[in-house]
Amino acid sequence: MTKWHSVIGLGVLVILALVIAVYVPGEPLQKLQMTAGYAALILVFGYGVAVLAAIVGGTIKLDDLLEEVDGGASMSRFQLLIFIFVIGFSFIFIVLQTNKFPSIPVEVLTLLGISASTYAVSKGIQAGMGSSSGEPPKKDDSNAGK
Amino acid sequence: MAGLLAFARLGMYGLLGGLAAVVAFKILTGGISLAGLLDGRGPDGRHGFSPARLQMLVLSGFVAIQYLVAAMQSAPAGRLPKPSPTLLAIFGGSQAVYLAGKARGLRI
Repeated sequence: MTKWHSVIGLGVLVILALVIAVYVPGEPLQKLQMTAGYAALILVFGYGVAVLAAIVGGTIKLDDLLEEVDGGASMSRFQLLIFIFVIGFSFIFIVLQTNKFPSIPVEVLTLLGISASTYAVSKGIQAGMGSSSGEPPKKDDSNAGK
Repeated sequence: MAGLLAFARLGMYGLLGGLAAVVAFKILTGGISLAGLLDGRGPDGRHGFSPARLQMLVLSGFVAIQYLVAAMQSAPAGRLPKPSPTLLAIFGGSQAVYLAGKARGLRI
């Protein structure tokens, strides 16, 4: 993020604070709470949009997100991606519907655990295959998804 | 405060939806490659179609869709739905078949 982005972001926050202070009716404390709330949301969403823009622009590369060491797509990574999105969407959906954090049953953690364990075991098997064949991995995927 | 809540809701939907859309777009346009997703390595070292991967893809999709539908239905109750033990067993079994096939280097 360049310094201009920071300056623009700061400018937006200052203008927002002025608008709330002058035009929004209410007690000074309530205005302060609203300003702080909006500022925090703009900051968080601003960073989120910046990350999304970097992904779209190619600064953050997702090309190898599902790639195996020996090429081809990884089934274990793909199913882990699916379940992270499914649980994440379900969680956010319920939070936004009820305005409170939902309770998380043990079974949901088990589901995610099975999914993540499959990925971890799969990587272990792959590493074992690479070392037993004496061939070095063709590609270092330690930066995949970054 | 209602405006703040609406803004937060809009932002969360936008960010999460945006991320899902970007990943889906990259998958559909080949930016994130799915080539070889159903291919496994056989005992002879060659790559080919793997039924173990296919069953895992189908069952993972089934479990994911079923969970998503259950989450939509149980949203007013304010809790994440519990996957049934049968569903967990099917899901775990599917993953075990995939891992066993991978460990043995068989296109089962």
